[in-house]
Amino acid sequence: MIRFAGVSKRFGSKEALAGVSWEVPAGERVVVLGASGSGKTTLLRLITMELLPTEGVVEVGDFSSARLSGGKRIRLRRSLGIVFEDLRLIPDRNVNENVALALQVRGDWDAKDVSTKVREALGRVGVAERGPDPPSALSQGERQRVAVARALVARPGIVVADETTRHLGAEPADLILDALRETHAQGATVVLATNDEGVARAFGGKTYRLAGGRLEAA
Amino acid sequence: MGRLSYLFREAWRGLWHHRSLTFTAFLALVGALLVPCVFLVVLVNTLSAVHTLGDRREMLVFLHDDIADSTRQDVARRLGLVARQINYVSKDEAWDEMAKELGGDELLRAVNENPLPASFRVKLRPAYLHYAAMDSISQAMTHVDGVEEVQYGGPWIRRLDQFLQTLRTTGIGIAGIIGLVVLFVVANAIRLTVVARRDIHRVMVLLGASRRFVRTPLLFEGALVSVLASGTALGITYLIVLGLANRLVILPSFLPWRWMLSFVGAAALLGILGSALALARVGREDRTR
Repeated sequence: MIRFAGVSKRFGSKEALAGVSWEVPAGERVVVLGASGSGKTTLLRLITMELLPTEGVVEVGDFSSARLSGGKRIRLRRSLGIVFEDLRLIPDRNVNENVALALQVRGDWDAKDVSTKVREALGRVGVAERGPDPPSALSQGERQRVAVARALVARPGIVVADETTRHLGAEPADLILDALRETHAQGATVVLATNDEGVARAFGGKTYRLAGGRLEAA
Repeated sequence: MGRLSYLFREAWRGLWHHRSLTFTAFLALVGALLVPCVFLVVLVNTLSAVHTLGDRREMLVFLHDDIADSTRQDVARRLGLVARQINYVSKDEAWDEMAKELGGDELLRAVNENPLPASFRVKLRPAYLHYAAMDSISQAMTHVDGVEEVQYGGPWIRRLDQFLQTLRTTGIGIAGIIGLVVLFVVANAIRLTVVARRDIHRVMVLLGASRRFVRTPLLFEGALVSVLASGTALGITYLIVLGLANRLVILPSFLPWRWMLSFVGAAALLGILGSALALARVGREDRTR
Protein backbone atom coordinates (compact mmCIF):
# COMPACT_ATOMS: atom_id res chain seq x y z
CA MET A 1 0.00 0.00 0.00
CA ILE A 2 1.17 3.52 -0.84
CA ARG A 3 -0.30 6.43 1.10
CA PHE A 4 0.28 10.17 0.80
CA ALA A 5 -1.20 12.21 3.67
CA GLY A 6 -1.26 15.97 2.97
CA VAL A 7 2.06 15.81 1.17
CA SER A 8 3.67 18.99 -0.12
CA LYS A 9 7.08 19.23 -1.71
CA ARG A 10 8.77 22.55 -2.33
CA PHE A 11 12.08 23.26 -4.04
CA GLY A 12 12.92 26.77 -2.86
CA SER A 13 9.93 28.89 -3.81
CA LYS A 14 8.62 26.38 -6.37
CA GLU A 15 5.92 24.05 -5.11
CA ALA A 16 6.02 20.74 -6.99
CA LEU A 17 3.29 19.05 -4.95
CA ALA A 18 0.65 20.84 -2.91
CA GLY A 19 -1.18 18.97 -0.17
CA VAL A 20 -1.51 15.66 -2.03
CA SER A 21 -3.52 12.97 -0.27
CA TRP A 22 -3.53 9.74 -2.19
CA GLU A 23 -3.83 6.05 -1.53
CA VAL A 24 -2.85 3.15 -3.76
CA PRO A 25 -3.97 -0.22 -2.34
CA ALA A 26 -1.60 -3.18 -2.59
CA GLY A 27 -1.76 -4.96 -5.93
CA GLU A 28 -3.21 -1.94 -7.75
CA ARG A 29 -2.17 -0.81 -11.26
CA VAL A 30 -1.98 2.97 -11.43
CA VAL A 31 -1.04 5.58 -14.03
CA VAL A 32 -0.03 9.10 -13.07
CA LEU A 33 -0.60 11.31 -16.10
CA GLY A 34 0.83 14.80 -16.37
CA ALA A 35 2.71 17.17 -18.60
CA SER A 36 6.45 17.54 -18.39
CA GLY A 37 7.39 19.44 -15.21
CA SER A 38 4.05 18.69 -13.56
CA GLY A 39 5.72 16.90 -10.63
CA LYS A 40 5.42 13.23 -11.68
CA THR A 41 9.10 12.48 -11.03
CA THR A 42 8.91 14.25 -7.67
CA LEU A 43 5.89 12.11 -6.75
CA LEU A 44 7.75 8.92 -7.65
CA ARG A 45 10.90 10.04 -5.83
CA LEU A 46 8.78 10.57 -2.75
CA ILE A 47 7.57 6.96 -3.07
CA THR A 48 11.15 5.71 -3.28
CA MET A 49 12.02 8.18 -0.47
CA GLU A 50 14.86 9.56 -2.49
CA LEU A 51 13.12 12.80 -1.51
CA LEU A 52 11.28 13.51 1.73
CA PRO A 53 8.13 15.63 1.85
CA THR A 54 8.31 19.25 2.99
CA GLU A 55 4.94 18.68 4.68
CA GLY A 56 2.85 15.60 5.29
CA VAL A 57 3.76 11.93 5.42
CA VAL A 58 4.43 9.29 2.78
CA GLU A 59 3.90 5.65 3.71
CA VAL A 60 5.01 2.76 1.54
CA GLY A 61 4.15 -0.63 2.99
CA ASP A 62 5.53 -0.64 6.54
CA PHE A 63 7.80 2.32 5.91
CA SER A 64 6.98 5.90 6.77
CA SER A 65 8.81 9.06 5.73
CA ALA A 66 8.27 10.29 9.30
CA ARG A 67 10.35 7.48 10.80
CA LEU A 68 12.99 6.58 8.26
CA SER A 69 16.30 5.26 9.53
CA GLY A 70 19.16 4.26 7.22
CA GLY A 71 18.36 0.56 7.64
CA LYS A 72 14.65 1.08 6.88
CA ARG A 73 15.49 3.10 3.78
CA ILE A 74 17.62 0.19 2.52
CA ARG A 75 14.83 -2.32 3.22
CA LEU A 76 12.28 -0.08 1.50
CA ARG A 77 14.44 0.21 -1.63
CA ARG A 78 14.86 -3.57 -1.70
CA SER A 79 11.08 -3.96 -1.73
CA LEU A 80 10.80 -1.68 -4.76
CA GLY A 81 11.56 -2.02 -8.46
CA ILE A 82 12.46 1.39 -9.87
CA VAL A 83 12.69 2.45 -13.52
CA PHE A 84 14.31 5.88 -13.47
CA GLU A 85 13.40 8.49 -16.04
CA ASP A 86 17.10 8.85 -16.91
CA LEU A 87 17.52 5.03 -16.66
CA ARG A 88 20.76 5.24 -14.62
CA LEU A 89 22.38 2.18 -16.10
CA ILE A 90 25.97 1.80 -14.91
CA PRO A 91 28.21 2.52 -17.90
CA ASP A 92 31.19 0.32 -17.00
CA ARG A 93 29.13 -2.85 -16.53
CA ASN A 94 27.55 -4.91 -19.22
CA VAL A 95 23.81 -5.49 -19.45
CA ASN A 96 23.93 -8.75 -17.48
CA GLU A 97 25.89 -7.11 -14.67
CA ASN A 98 23.56 -4.10 -14.58
CA VAL A 99 20.54 -6.34 -14.13
CA ALA A 100 22.33 -8.72 -11.74
CA LEU A 101 23.13 -5.77 -9.46
CA ALA A 102 19.48 -5.55 -8.39
CA LEU A 103 19.76 -9.13 -7.09
CA GLN A 104 23.21 -8.76 -5.57
CA VAL A 105 22.26 -5.72 -3.46
CA ARG A 106 19.51 -7.94 -2.03
CA GLY A 107 22.11 -10.56 -1.07
CA ASP A 108 21.51 -13.02 -3.92
CA TRP A 109 25.02 -14.29 -4.76
CA ASP A 110 24.21 -17.69 -6.22
CA ALA A 111 25.83 -17.38 -9.65
CA LYS A 112 23.54 -19.90 -11.36
CA ASP A 113 20.38 -18.47 -9.82
CA VAL A 114 21.39 -14.88 -10.66
CA SER A 115 22.25 -15.83 -14.23
CA THR A 116 18.90 -17.60 -14.74
CA LYS A 117 16.88 -14.71 -13.30
CA VAL A 118 18.80 -12.13 -15.33
CA ARG A 119 18.29 -14.05 -18.58
CA GLU A 120 14.60 -14.46 -17.83
CA ALA A 121 14.12 -10.75 -17.00
CA LEU A 122 15.94 -9.62 -20.14
CA GLY A 123 13.91 -12.12 -22.17
CA ARG A 124 10.64 -10.66 -20.87
CA VAL A 125 11.50 -7.30 -22.46
CA GLY A 126 13.10 -8.82 -25.58
CA VAL A 127 16.79 -8.02 -25.05
CA ALA A 128 18.12 -11.37 -23.80
CA GLU A 129 20.79 -11.47 -26.52
CA ARG A 130 22.29 -8.10 -25.42
CA GLY A 131 23.52 -9.46 -22.07
CA PRO A 132 27.28 -9.22 -22.74
CA ASP A 133 27.08 -5.70 -24.28
CA PRO A 134 27.82 -2.46 -22.45
CA PRO A 135 24.94 0.05 -22.24
CA SER A 136 26.79 2.35 -24.66
CA ALA A 137 26.38 -0.27 -27.43
CA LEU A 138 22.57 -0.30 -27.07
CA SER A 139 19.95 1.88 -28.70
CA GLN A 140 17.87 4.17 -26.46
CA GLY A 141 14.96 1.73 -26.67
CA GLU A 142 17.14 -1.21 -25.66
CA ARG A 143 18.54 0.75 -22.72
CA GLN A 144 15.00 1.50 -21.55
CA ARG A 145 14.14 -2.19 -21.72
CA VAL A 146 17.27 -3.13 -19.75
CA ALA A 147 16.27 -0.60 -17.07
CA VAL A 148 12.84 -2.27 -16.87
CA ALA A 149 14.46 -5.71 -16.63
CA ARG A 150 16.61 -4.47 -13.74
CA ALA A 151 13.51 -3.16 -11.95
CA LEU A 152 11.61 -6.43 -12.37
CA VAL A 153 14.33 -9.05 -11.92
CA ALA A 154 13.99 -9.33 -8.12
CA ARG A 155 10.17 -9.62 -8.37
CA PRO A 156 9.52 -6.59 -6.14
CA GLY A 157 6.19 -5.95 -4.41
CA ILE A 158 5.98 -2.42 -5.77
CA VAL A 159 7.21 -1.19 -9.17
CA VAL A 160 7.65 2.51 -9.86
CA ALA A 161 8.26 3.43 -13.50
CA ASP A 162 8.97 6.94 -14.71
CA GLU A 163 8.34 7.71 -18.42
CA THR A 164 9.38 4.16 -19.20
CA THR A 165 8.16 4.11 -22.78
CA ARG A 166 9.15 7.61 -23.85
CA HIS A 167 10.81 7.80 -27.30
CA LEU A 168 9.93 4.15 -28.01
CA GLY A 169 8.15 2.77 -31.04
CA ALA A 170 4.87 0.93 -30.62
CA GLU A 171 6.34 -2.58 -30.52
CA PRO A 172 9.05 -2.09 -27.86
CA ALA A 173 6.67 0.08 -25.82
CA ASP A 174 4.10 -2.74 -25.88
CA LEU A 175 6.79 -5.21 -24.72
CA ILE A 176 7.53 -3.01 -21.72
CA LEU A 177 3.88 -2.43 -20.88
CA ASP A 178 3.24 -6.18 -21.19
CA ALA A 179 6.09 -6.90 -18.77
CA LEU A 180 4.69 -4.37 -16.29
CA ARG A 181 1.17 -5.78 -16.66
CA GLU A 182 2.49 -9.30 -16.12
CA THR A 183 4.27 -8.13 -12.95
CA HIS A 184 0.99 -6.58 -11.78
CA ALA A 185 -0.85 -9.81 -12.57
CA GLN A 186 1.61 -11.63 -10.32
CA GLY A 187 0.50 -9.43 -7.42
CA ALA A 188 2.76 -6.38 -7.52
CA THR A 189 1.59 -2.79 -7.19
CA VAL A 190 2.63 -0.88 -10.30
CA VAL A 191 2.79 2.92 -10.56
CA LEU A 192 3.54 4.23 -14.04
CA ALA A 193 4.15 7.93 -14.65
CA THR A 194 3.74 9.23 -18.20
CA ASN A 195 2.83 12.32 -20.18
CA ASP A 196 1.36 10.24 -23.00
CA GLU A 197 -2.41 9.66 -22.85
CA GLY A 198 -2.06 6.81 -25.36
CA VAL A 199 0.35 4.96 -23.06
CA ALA A 200 -1.97 5.58 -20.10
CA ARG A 201 -4.88 4.10 -22.03
CA ALA A 202 -2.80 1.18 -23.30
CA PHE A 203 -1.52 0.34 -19.84
CA GLY A 204 -4.97 0.43 -18.24
CA GLY A 205 -5.65 0.59 -14.52
CA LYS A 206 -6.70 3.58 -12.49
CA THR A 207 -5.46 6.91 -13.88
CA TYR A 208 -4.66 10.07 -11.92
CA ARG A 209 -3.90 13.47 -13.37
CA LEU A 210 -1.19 15.64 -11.89
CA ALA A 211 -1.33 19.35 -12.65
CA GLY A 212 -0.37 22.45 -10.68
CA GLY A 213 0.96 20.27 -7.88
CA ARG A 214 -2.45 18.62 -7.37
CA LEU A 215 -3.31 14.99 -8.03
CA GLU A 216 -6.86 14.04 -9.07
CA ALA A 217 -8.49 10.87 -10.32
CA ALA A 218 -9.07 11.10 -14.08
CA MET B 1 29.04 -14.48 -9.71
CA GLY B 2 30.02 -15.12 -6.11
CA ARG B 3 30.54 -12.40 -3.54
CA LEU B 4 34.33 -12.75 -3.58
CA SER B 5 34.65 -12.64 -7.35
CA TYR B 6 32.30 -9.62 -7.33
CA LEU B 7 34.66 -7.91 -4.87
CA PHE B 8 37.67 -8.65 -7.09
CA ARG B 9 35.91 -7.49 -10.22
CA GLU B 10 34.67 -4.31 -8.60
CA ALA B 11 38.08 -3.48 -7.16
CA TRP B 12 39.78 -4.24 -10.46
CA ARG B 13 37.14 -2.21 -12.34
CA GLY B 14 37.84 0.77 -10.08
CA LEU B 15 41.60 0.46 -10.54
CA TRP B 16 41.32 0.03 -14.31
CA HIS B 17 38.80 2.84 -14.70
CA HIS B 18 41.35 5.27 -13.22
CA ARG B 19 44.44 3.49 -14.51
CA SER B 20 46.70 6.54 -14.79
CA LEU B 21 45.84 7.55 -11.22
CA THR B 22 46.22 3.93 -10.09
CA PHE B 23 49.60 3.66 -11.80
CA THR B 24 50.84 6.89 -10.19
CA ALA B 25 49.68 5.71 -6.76
CA PHE B 26 51.25 2.30 -7.41
CA LEU B 27 54.64 3.83 -8.31
CA ALA B 28 54.55 6.12 -5.26
CA LEU B 29 53.74 3.15 -3.03
CA VAL B 30 56.50 0.97 -4.55
CA GLY B 31 59.00 3.81 -3.96
CA ALA B 32 57.85 4.26 -0.38
CA LEU B 33 57.71 0.54 0.41
CA LEU B 34 61.20 -0.07 -0.97
CA VAL B 35 62.66 1.79 2.04
CA PRO B 36 61.29 -0.54 4.75
CA CYS B 37 61.87 -3.53 2.47
CA VAL B 38 65.61 -2.78 2.19
CA PHE B 39 65.71 -1.99 5.90
CA LEU B 40 64.14 -5.36 6.70
CA VAL B 41 66.81 -7.14 4.67
CA VAL B 42 69.51 -5.24 6.60
CA LEU B 43 67.74 -6.13 9.85
CA VAL B 44 67.45 -9.81 8.97
CA ASN B 45 71.14 -10.01 8.12
CA THR B 46 72.13 -8.09 11.24
CA LEU B 47 69.99 -10.28 13.48
CA SER B 48 71.46 -13.35 11.83
CA ALA B 49 74.99 -12.02 12.49
CA VAL B 50 74.05 -11.14 16.06
CA HIS B 51 72.62 -14.61 16.55
CA THR B 52 75.93 -16.11 15.43
CA LEU B 53 77.86 -13.72 17.67
CA GLY B 54 75.39 -14.38 20.45
CA ASP B 55 76.53 -18.00 20.54
CA ARG B 56 79.95 -16.69 21.48
CA ARG B 57 78.62 -14.55 24.27
CA GLU B 58 80.17 -16.76 26.91
CA MET B 59 80.67 -16.01 30.53
CA LEU B 60 83.88 -17.33 32.09
CA VAL B 61 83.77 -18.02 35.82
CA PHE B 62 87.29 -18.64 37.19
CA LEU B 63 87.60 -20.65 40.39
CA HIS B 64 90.06 -20.60 43.29
CA ASP B 65 92.77 -23.28 43.07
CA ASP B 66 91.87 -24.71 46.44
CA ILE B 67 88.13 -24.91 45.85
CA ALA B 68 86.39 -27.86 47.49
CA ASP B 69 84.23 -30.16 45.38
CA SER B 70 81.09 -29.22 47.31
CA THR B 71 81.77 -25.50 46.79
CA ARG B 72 82.38 -26.09 43.09
CA GLN B 73 79.09 -27.96 42.85
CA ASP B 74 77.36 -25.06 44.60
CA VAL B 75 78.80 -22.63 42.02
CA ALA B 76 77.61 -24.93 39.21
CA ARG B 77 74.13 -25.12 40.78
CA ARG B 78 73.88 -21.33 40.96
CA LEU B 79 75.01 -20.97 37.35
CA GLY B 80 72.47 -23.60 36.31
CA LEU B 81 69.68 -21.14 37.18
CA VAL B 82 70.66 -18.81 34.31
CA ALA B 83 72.63 -21.05 31.96
CA ARG B 84 71.56 -23.23 29.06
CA GLN B 85 74.99 -24.93 28.93
CA ILE B 86 77.85 -25.18 31.44
CA ASN B 87 81.25 -26.71 30.75
CA TYR B 88 83.76 -27.31 33.54
CA VAL B 89 87.39 -26.83 32.49
CA SER B 90 89.87 -28.16 35.05
CA LYS B 91 93.36 -26.68 35.57
CA ASP B 92 94.90 -29.54 33.53
CA GLU B 93 92.43 -29.12 30.68
CA ALA B 94 93.11 -25.37 30.61
CA TRP B 95 96.85 -26.12 30.46
CA ASP B 96 96.37 -28.57 27.57
CA GLU B 97 94.22 -26.11 25.65
CA MET B 98 96.74 -23.32 26.02
CA ALA B 99 99.55 -25.66 24.95
CA LYS B 100 97.56 -26.57 21.87
CA GLU B 101 96.90 -22.91 21.05
CA LEU B 102 100.58 -22.03 21.43
CA GLY B 103 101.61 -24.93 19.22
CA GLY B 104 103.62 -26.84 21.89
CA ASP B 105 104.46 -26.74 25.59
CA GLU B 106 108.05 -25.42 25.36
CA LEU B 107 107.07 -21.96 26.52
CA LEU B 108 104.90 -23.40 29.24
CA ARG B 109 107.78 -25.59 30.46
CA ALA B 110 109.47 -22.40 31.58
CA VAL B 111 106.77 -22.03 34.15
CA ASN B 112 107.35 -24.44 36.98
CA GLU B 113 103.76 -24.82 38.05
CA ASN B 114 100.40 -24.69 36.14
CA PRO B 115 99.24 -21.11 36.84
CA LEU B 116 95.91 -21.47 35.02
CA PRO B 117 92.72 -21.61 37.12
CA ALA B 118 89.89 -24.07 36.70
CA SER B 119 86.78 -22.44 35.28
CA PHE B 120 83.18 -22.80 34.21
CA ARG B 121 82.40 -21.78 30.61
CA VAL B 122 78.77 -20.66 30.69
CA LYS B 123 76.37 -20.13 27.80
CA LEU B 124 73.50 -18.10 29.20
CA ARG B 125 69.85 -18.55 28.35
CA PRO B 126 68.67 -16.13 25.60
CA ALA B 127 66.76 -14.02 28.13
CA TYR B 128 70.06 -13.12 29.83
CA LEU B 129 72.03 -12.36 26.68
CA HIS B 130 72.11 -8.60 27.17
CA TYR B 131 74.41 -6.26 28.98
CA ALA B 132 72.29 -5.47 32.04
CA ALA B 133 71.57 -9.13 32.85
CA MET B 134 75.12 -10.29 32.18
CA ASP B 135 76.58 -7.51 34.32
CA SER B 136 74.27 -8.27 37.21
CA ILE B 137 74.97 -12.05 37.00
CA SER B 138 78.69 -11.33 36.83
CA GLN B 139 78.59 -9.12 39.93
CA ALA B 140 76.50 -11.65 41.86
CA MET B 141 78.82 -14.54 40.95
CA THR B 142 81.96 -12.58 41.92
CA HIS B 143 80.77 -12.70 45.53
CA VAL B 144 80.02 -16.42 45.53
CA ASP B 145 82.35 -18.54 47.61
CA GLY B 146 85.05 -20.26 45.51
CA VAL B 147 84.83 -17.80 42.59
CA GLU B 148 87.96 -15.82 41.84
CA GLU B 149 86.88 -13.76 38.83
CA VAL B 150 84.11 -13.48 36.23
CA GLN B 151 84.71 -12.35 32.63
CA TYR B 152 82.08 -11.73 29.96
CA GLY B 153 83.29 -8.98 27.59
CA GLY B 154 81.14 -6.24 29.11
CA PRO B 155 81.97 -3.23 26.86
CA TRP B 156 81.50 -5.31 23.71
CA ILE B 157 78.12 -6.61 24.88
CA ARG B 158 77.09 -3.08 25.77
CA ARG B 159 77.99 -1.78 22.31
CA LEU B 160 76.09 -4.66 20.68
CA ASP B 161 73.00 -3.91 22.79
CA GLN B 162 73.18 -0.22 21.91
CA PHE B 163 73.47 -1.09 18.22
CA LEU B 164 70.42 -3.38 18.40
CA GLN B 165 68.48 -0.69 20.24
CA THR B 166 69.37 1.87 17.55
CA LEU B 167 68.28 -0.60 14.89
CA ARG B 168 64.95 -1.14 16.65
CA THR B 169 64.31 2.61 17.05
CA THR B 170 65.22 3.25 13.41
CA GLY B 171 62.88 0.43 12.36
CA ILE B 172 59.97 1.87 14.32
CA GLY B 173 60.69 5.34 12.89
CA ILE B 174 60.81 4.05 9.31
CA ALA B 175 57.66 1.97 9.82
CA GLY B 176 55.83 5.01 11.20
CA ILE B 177 56.87 7.38 8.41
CA ILE B 178 56.26 4.88 5.61
CA GLY B 179 52.93 3.90 7.19
CA LEU B 180 51.81 7.53 6.99
CA VAL B 181 53.04 7.82 3.39
CA VAL B 182 51.08 4.69 2.38
CA LEU B 183 47.96 5.98 4.14
CA PHE B 184 48.28 9.35 2.41
CA VAL B 185 48.80 7.90 -1.09
CA VAL B 186 46.03 5.28 -0.81
CA ALA B 187 43.58 7.68 0.84
CA ASN B 188 44.00 10.25 -1.94
CA ALA B 189 43.81 7.72 -4.77
CA ILE B 190 40.66 6.10 -3.33
CA ARG B 191 39.12 9.48 -2.56
CA LEU B 192 39.39 10.47 -6.22
CA THR B 193 37.87 7.11 -7.22
CA VAL B 194 34.98 7.59 -4.79
CA VAL B 195 34.32 11.11 -6.05
CA ALA B 196 34.46 9.96 -9.69
CA ARG B 197 32.09 7.04 -9.03
CA ARG B 198 29.70 8.95 -6.78
CA ASP B 199 26.82 8.74 -9.30
CA ILE B 200 27.27 5.00 -9.67
CA HIS B 201 27.25 4.56 -5.90
CA ARG B 202 24.08 6.65 -5.71
CA VAL B 203 22.37 4.30 -8.19
CA MET B 204 23.45 1.32 -6.10
CA VAL B 205 21.99 2.90 -2.97
CA LEU B 206 18.70 3.59 -4.81
CA LEU B 207 18.57 -0.05 -5.82
CA GLY B 208 18.85 -1.03 -2.15
CA ALA B 209 22.60 -1.40 -1.61
CA SER B 210 23.81 -1.06 1.96
CA ARG B 211 26.79 1.12 2.86
CA ARG B 212 28.83 -2.06 3.27
CA PHE B 213 27.91 -3.24 -0.22
CA VAL B 214 29.14 0.04 -1.73
CA ARG B 215 32.20 0.47 0.48
CA THR B 216 33.69 -3.01 0.70
CA PRO B 217 34.97 -3.04 -2.92
CA LEU B 218 36.62 0.34 -2.28
CA LEU B 219 38.37 -0.97 0.82
CA PHE B 220 39.40 -3.98 -1.22
CA GLU B 221 40.69 -1.67 -3.95
CA GLY B 222 43.00 0.08 -1.45
CA ALA B 223 44.21 -3.29 -0.19
CA LEU B 224 44.76 -4.60 -3.73
CA VAL B 225 46.94 -1.68 -4.87
CA SER B 226 48.95 -1.90 -1.63
CA VAL B 227 49.45 -5.65 -1.99
CA LEU B 228 50.60 -5.25 -5.61
CA ALA B 229 52.97 -2.44 -4.60
CA SER B 230 54.42 -4.34 -1.62
CA GLY B 231 54.91 -7.46 -3.78
CA THR B 232 56.73 -5.37 -6.38
CA ALA B 233 58.87 -3.70 -3.71
CA LEU B 234 59.82 -7.16 -2.39
CA GLY B 235 60.69 -8.28 -5.93
CA ILE B 236 62.91 -5.25 -6.56
CA THR B 237 64.64 -5.73 -3.19
CA TYR B 238 65.25 -9.37 -4.04
CA LEU B 239 66.93 -8.33 -7.29
CA ILE B 240 69.06 -5.82 -5.35
CA VAL B 241 70.15 -8.58 -2.91
CA LEU B 242 70.87 -10.88 -5.84
CA GLY B 243 73.00 -8.15 -7.45
CA LEU B 244 74.91 -7.54 -4.20
CA ALA B 245 75.50 -11.26 -3.71
CA ASN B 246 77.82 -11.23 -6.72
CA ARG B 247 79.84 -8.32 -5.31
CA LEU B 248 80.06 -9.12 -1.59
CA VAL B 249 82.17 -11.72 0.15
CA ILE B 250 79.42 -12.41 2.68
CA LEU B 251 76.29 -13.67 0.99
CA PRO B 252 73.36 -11.60 2.28
CA SER B 253 70.21 -13.56 2.95
CA PHE B 254 66.73 -12.44 1.84
CA LEU B 255 63.63 -12.16 4.00
CA PRO B 256 62.09 -15.37 5.37
CA TRP B 257 58.60 -16.25 4.01
CA ARG B 258 56.93 -15.29 7.25
CA TRP B 259 58.48 -11.81 7.14
CA MET B 260 57.44 -11.34 3.52
CA LEU B 261 53.85 -12.36 4.25
CA SER B 262 53.76 -10.05 7.27
CA PHE B 263 55.11 -7.21 5.12
CA VAL B 264 52.45 -7.71 2.44
CA GLY B 265 49.78 -8.18 5.12
CA ALA B 266 50.78 -4.94 6.84
CA ALA B 267 50.67 -3.11 3.49
CA ALA B 268 47.19 -4.55 2.82
CA LEU B 269 45.98 -3.36 6.23
CA LEU B 270 47.37 0.12 5.59
CA GLY B 271 45.62 0.09 2.19
CA ILE B 272 42.30 -0.77 3.84
CA LEU B 273 42.85 1.91 6.49
CA GLY B 274 43.73 4.48 3.80
CA SER B 275 40.55 3.63 1.88
CA ALA B 276 38.49 3.87 5.07
CA LEU B 277 39.94 7.33 5.72
CA ALA B 278 39.09 8.40 2.16
CA LEU B 279 35.51 7.12 2.52
CA ALA B 280 35.10 8.89 5.86
CA ARG B 281 36.39 12.12 4.33
CA VAL B 282 34.10 11.92 1.29
CA GLY B 283 31.19 11.09 3.60
CA ARG B 284 31.96 14.19 5.68
CA GLU B 285 32.16 16.36 2.54
CA ASP B 286 28.80 14.96 1.33
CA ARG B 287 27.15 15.73 4.64
CA THR B 288 28.38 19.32 4.71
CA ARG B 289 27.14 20.03 1.16
